[in-house]
Amino acid sequence: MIGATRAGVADVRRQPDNALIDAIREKFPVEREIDKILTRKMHRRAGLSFQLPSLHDLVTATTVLISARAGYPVTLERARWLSGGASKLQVAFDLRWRGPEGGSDAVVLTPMVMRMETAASVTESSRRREFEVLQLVDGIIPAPQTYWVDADAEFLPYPGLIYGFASGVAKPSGDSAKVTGLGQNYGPELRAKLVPQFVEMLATLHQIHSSQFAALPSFDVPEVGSNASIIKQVNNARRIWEEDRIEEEPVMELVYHWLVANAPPLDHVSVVHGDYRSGNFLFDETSGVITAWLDWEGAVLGDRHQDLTYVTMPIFRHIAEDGQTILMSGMGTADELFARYAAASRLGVCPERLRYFGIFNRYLVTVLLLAASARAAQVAGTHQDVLLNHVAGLGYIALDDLLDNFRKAVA
Amino acid sequence: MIQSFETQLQVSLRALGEIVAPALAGADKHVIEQLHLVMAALGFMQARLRSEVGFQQAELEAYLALAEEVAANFRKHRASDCAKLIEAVSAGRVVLASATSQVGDYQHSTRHLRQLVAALASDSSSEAEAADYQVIVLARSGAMIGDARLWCLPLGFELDPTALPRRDWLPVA
Repeated sequence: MIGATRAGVADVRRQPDNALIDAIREKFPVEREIDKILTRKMHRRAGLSFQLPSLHDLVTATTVLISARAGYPVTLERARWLSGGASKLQVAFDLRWRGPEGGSDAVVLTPMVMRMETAASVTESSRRREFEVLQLVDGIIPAPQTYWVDADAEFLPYPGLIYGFASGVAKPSGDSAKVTGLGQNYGPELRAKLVPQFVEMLATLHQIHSSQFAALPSFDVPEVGSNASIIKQVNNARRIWEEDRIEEEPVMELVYHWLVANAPPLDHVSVVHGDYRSGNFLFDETSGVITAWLDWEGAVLGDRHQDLTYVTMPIFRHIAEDGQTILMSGMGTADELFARYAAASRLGVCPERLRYFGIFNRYLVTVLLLAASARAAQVAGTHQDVLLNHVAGLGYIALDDLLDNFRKAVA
Repeated sequence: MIQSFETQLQVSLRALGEIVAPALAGADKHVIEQLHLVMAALGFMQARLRSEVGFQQAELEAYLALAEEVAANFRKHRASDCAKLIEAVSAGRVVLASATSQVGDYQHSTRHLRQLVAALASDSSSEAEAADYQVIVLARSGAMIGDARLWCLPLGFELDPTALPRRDWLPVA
């Protein structure tokens, strides 16, 4: 039998040809820069698997990059791998240079991080966009200070950027009280300090004035009153599904059509972080002050409810010390967080939009787990294949949760 | 004597857990993390090695039932679209009934059905048709996704494993 049937399900995504790449691009239009990045991913897939560069080679390439950008020779000291993160490779180092002012006699030692893509990723994204949004939020939201970007891999083996080393920890060093759940537990004392900042920073981010969007040339700027940008975002997720999935899933097809048919027109254009949750910020463990928000690669100009519902995704939840209360991103109940947000922001919280973006984010998370993670591991595209392979196993929990919420939405 | 896959996995996991892991105690965090993930992957294989045939058969059976219901519903209006699906259902039934079928055969038959069933959703020509399709897919998907969750159980992500159903393809503990 088997020959004919197997030919019918050949994995055309493993070695995609131009016809397939073009057909997917045409069917699911996305933002300009996103289109560039996803198309590049598909062309790159046919190439060699990812070979982890040596630390020495990366230090050499980074030194050349910074020297070229600064206009004089610099040296890197104390270079070391930085652990954490499933999608990008990071090297921490101290840069001996003349400092931001660049006085010829100045000698400054600045701790920095080189963050570079691998051949494939769970979140294929643009270093150019990440660099732009980090520059935009500088002084508004705590975030690493950006220095240089190598968006087209002119110096580094893959596109990358250089930013300042941010102090703080992503999770408490001590063991917290007994809780269950996949999300990060901060414990009651730390939680009380973090929650107000967590919400207020999100409200601040979403209220950045549109006059500042000129600093984001790699982002398509949406129009208030139109749902075109939301449909582009749905298409972005769908395109990843189309490009990366190992096998089809009828539920995903149903949800995609619903998301397009029900996309709400924007009532306000916000800078959306796209991955705003526990684990993606650093804090000072003693004071409980948030020192930096990380992982801006999924940032878009869009609807604030996207971030609001992302915070509440099941994979970032845990049950509190009372054994009953479900804490979203380790912070509070959904109602508490939305009420705090409404109080901190002049922008409202709309239940209908929460419902829509609840489905949108569940769809996106399922795509990233069942398609992007699984494919990146399969093509040996990263330095974390074994991790991506592992988290792909979360995909069916995410899909079941999507199914459950979708059923309620269409009931 | 050729050792079984089960023994190969058992000795590998024991060496990694009892010899290699303690020796790496001072290594970089990401090195230790990757070691534990390798052990998790091998442990998953060890836990599911004897269940794979049963799981793949059950998944194919579930997709055959879904495809048959979809085909029966759309046959009148979408004869040409359903022809491929009906053909794939027949081929899938042969695979399922054959004593010589292997895991890859079940898997590829299921993938073919997944592909054809999903394609019908994207091509639905009327709202009523799309609604009918949705009812069928939503009614049958819960159990199939539940089985996939059960398959992935040894990865350790489930908060309440006892809430997942028991299935015949799982060996008796």
